[in-house]
Amino acid sequence: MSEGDGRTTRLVVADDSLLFRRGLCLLLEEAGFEIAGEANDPDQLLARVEMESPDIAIVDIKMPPTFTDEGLRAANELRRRHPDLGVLVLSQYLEVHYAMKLIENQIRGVGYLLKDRVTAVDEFTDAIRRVGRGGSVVDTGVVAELLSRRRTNNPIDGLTDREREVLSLMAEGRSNHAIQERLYISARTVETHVRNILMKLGLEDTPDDHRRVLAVLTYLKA
Amino acid sequence: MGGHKDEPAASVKVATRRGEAEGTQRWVPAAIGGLGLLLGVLELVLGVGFAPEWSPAPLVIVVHAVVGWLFVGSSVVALARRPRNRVGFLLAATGVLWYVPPGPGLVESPVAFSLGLVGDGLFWLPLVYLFLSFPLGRLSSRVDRAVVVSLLVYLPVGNVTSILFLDPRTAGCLACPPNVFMLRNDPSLATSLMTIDSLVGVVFGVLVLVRFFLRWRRATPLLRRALQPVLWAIGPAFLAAIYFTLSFLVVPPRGFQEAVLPFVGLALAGLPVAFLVGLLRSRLGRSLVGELVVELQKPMPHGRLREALSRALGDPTMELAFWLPESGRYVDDQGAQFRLPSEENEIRGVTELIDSDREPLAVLIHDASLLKDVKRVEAVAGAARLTLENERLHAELRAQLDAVRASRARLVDTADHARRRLERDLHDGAQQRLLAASTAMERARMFNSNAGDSRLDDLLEEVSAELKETLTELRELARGIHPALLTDEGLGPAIESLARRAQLPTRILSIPRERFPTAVEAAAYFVVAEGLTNAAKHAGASEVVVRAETSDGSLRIQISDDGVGGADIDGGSGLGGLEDRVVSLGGVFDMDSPDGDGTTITATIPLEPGATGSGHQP
Repeated sequence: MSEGDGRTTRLVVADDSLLFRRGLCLLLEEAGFEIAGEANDPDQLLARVEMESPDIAIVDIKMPPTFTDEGLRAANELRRRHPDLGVLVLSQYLEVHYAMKLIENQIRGVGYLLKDRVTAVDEFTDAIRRVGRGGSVVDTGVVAELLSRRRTNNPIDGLTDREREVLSLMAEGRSNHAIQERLYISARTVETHVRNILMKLGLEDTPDDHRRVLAVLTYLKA
Repeated sequence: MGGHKDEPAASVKVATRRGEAEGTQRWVPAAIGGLGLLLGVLELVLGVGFAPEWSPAPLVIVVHAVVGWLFVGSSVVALARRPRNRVGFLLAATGVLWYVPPGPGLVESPVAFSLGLVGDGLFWLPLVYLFLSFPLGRLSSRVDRAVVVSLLVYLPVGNVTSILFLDPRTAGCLACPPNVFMLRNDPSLATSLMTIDSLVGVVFGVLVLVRFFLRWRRATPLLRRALQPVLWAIGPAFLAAIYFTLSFLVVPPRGFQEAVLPFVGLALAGLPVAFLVGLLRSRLGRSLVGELVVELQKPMPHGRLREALSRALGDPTMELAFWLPESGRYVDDQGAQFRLPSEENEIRGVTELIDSDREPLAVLIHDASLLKDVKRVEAVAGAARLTLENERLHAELRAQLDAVRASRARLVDTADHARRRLERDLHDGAQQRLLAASTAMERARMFNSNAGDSRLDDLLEEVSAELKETLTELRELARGIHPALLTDEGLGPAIESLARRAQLPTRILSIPRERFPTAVEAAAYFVVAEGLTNAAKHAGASEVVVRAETSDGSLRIQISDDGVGGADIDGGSGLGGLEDRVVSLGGVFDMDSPDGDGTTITATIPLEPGATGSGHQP
């Protein structure tokens, strides 16, 4: 797997579960990535990234020593030290709270994905590459939970099915171009949908994809 | 509790003993009073009329007689009100000896007159005894006994010595009979000896005062109640004593002497009154035993017994502790563990009380001075024994209830801990293995897509889908057991997550952001979770409102729906278990569900549950 310049995308993978980490690394190698290093805990992760200067770090949310939010804190620290590094946080928890905690603190180039997503390799590698290009990735399950929330007088209810589909993809962090490709519709149609959605929800349009993700998630979470 | 019928007999017995004591000695105060009255009258009649050359002014004699009467009068009251206390006798002795020597004109026999001179000032002996032994009337220290004995020896010796060279007639008393103890007439030697005698008197006076003040300083509050009036009366009496002494050393002009002497006498008059008042104050508690008996007839709220006993003993600091034979410890009336004062504690006294089966019942921890008044404590305890036994039962129940509550809290805590462990084990074990298997499966699918066996491809696809489904179910299961979000991020995010997943539209009006003890967070979380489930299942509601706030050291959670109401806690829902959980933390669980008007569940959980271990430890 290679970026535009023909270079292979290099990864550092951090997870304290050796079994899963090894499996993940083999899978990603098969998928064409280069594993530049593996780490067992946040300190090793920071050291490997320092040494190897990878393109992307894949980080388990739960790591030693306290197994709470070490992964999120390591992600923040990595982004602070290496602004060009993409960071994808893998989690076993389908919790909006963790995803927001990660997205809120970053400008771009971060993602929150369920570990389960390894069962769909194409989606998974796509997400890694989006993070590597500086995009934002939010797990589709997290977005689904936000969209399915029951409320009285829900503005989401005023959206058409197609608009809801587009909103979901926006919240997952996809660009207009990605939405267009995914839904097989024209760029103009996507733009119209996006404008209508933002208007119906009372949100301001922004050319910055990450800001759009954050605005949409914040709106849905409230 | 089989021996209750013995009970009243015990208290009656105490009362009877007191009655006998009073009955047998009733003639004594009357006799002493009569004698004192007679002596006073004799002094007035005989002393005023005779020997004007040497006898003091009439007013001085009147005051002298009145002071004697005051001592005698006080003794009569003291003997009547407190017959077994020596204070009455000591007052009586002081009063009677006060009239010695008889007025110089009273006796014409030289021997009687001379013996009177020797007996001069003998009243000091009982008076000093009183000072040193008040209010019990018994000398308690070796020093005090030594003072009294040396005074007993010294008084006659000193008196005799000072009159060995004194001829009263030369000294100005022309009507006086001759002094039979006189060796020779030497006025200047006599004066010197009298001066020495006065100085020794001063030494004794200072000794007694020092001993009294030392006792005051060490006195417990209860003892001070009795000593206080005497302390007040000492001032004027001491001034009077100084004047007396000085007037022997430097004889003042006769006119001045006559003017001052009545006041000197009056200053001493305060003493008998002070002793009587102090004695009556110290016996105030005794008459309260009767009031206690009356008070105990009425039903008494739990915990009031201590107050009643402390009033009856006149000791506001009294504490009460019950002996629990089963657990072998002392508890207070609330059932809380009680520690007895150490043996070396000199301020606090401990009286053990036994029940009707002669087994330990309770202890009174009181002012140490009450230890010297065993009879009073006995009377009070006897009167209250039945109530004490009831109160002990109550304290025992309280202690057991506390133990049960603590054990329930431990059970809930243990269960919570087990749930957290289970969640972590699922996360670290099964989930990681399934994920590892998934990565292998995906690799297999990649290999095969190159090989192109379509049947194998379908099979692998199927297994992959099953794995995915299993992972999802496992995650939901782990979250249901104990959400990691609650453990890691606290109540706010966890309840928000619950509200997002709820089947009914759920609004959160307020939610605290701070962390609470683990047990409190778990209880609050499950109250909200169960409340939301309950509303969705039974209430037919269209919206649920959640509100969580802290106030007065408690976390208050309220879940209200707008459904049909009419729910009850024991109706097979999970609410009964919630109530147990909340109550085990010392909290209150309440459900208000009027028919047709929605359901509101309120749980109030104290943030510092006393008996609950809320740590992470197993």
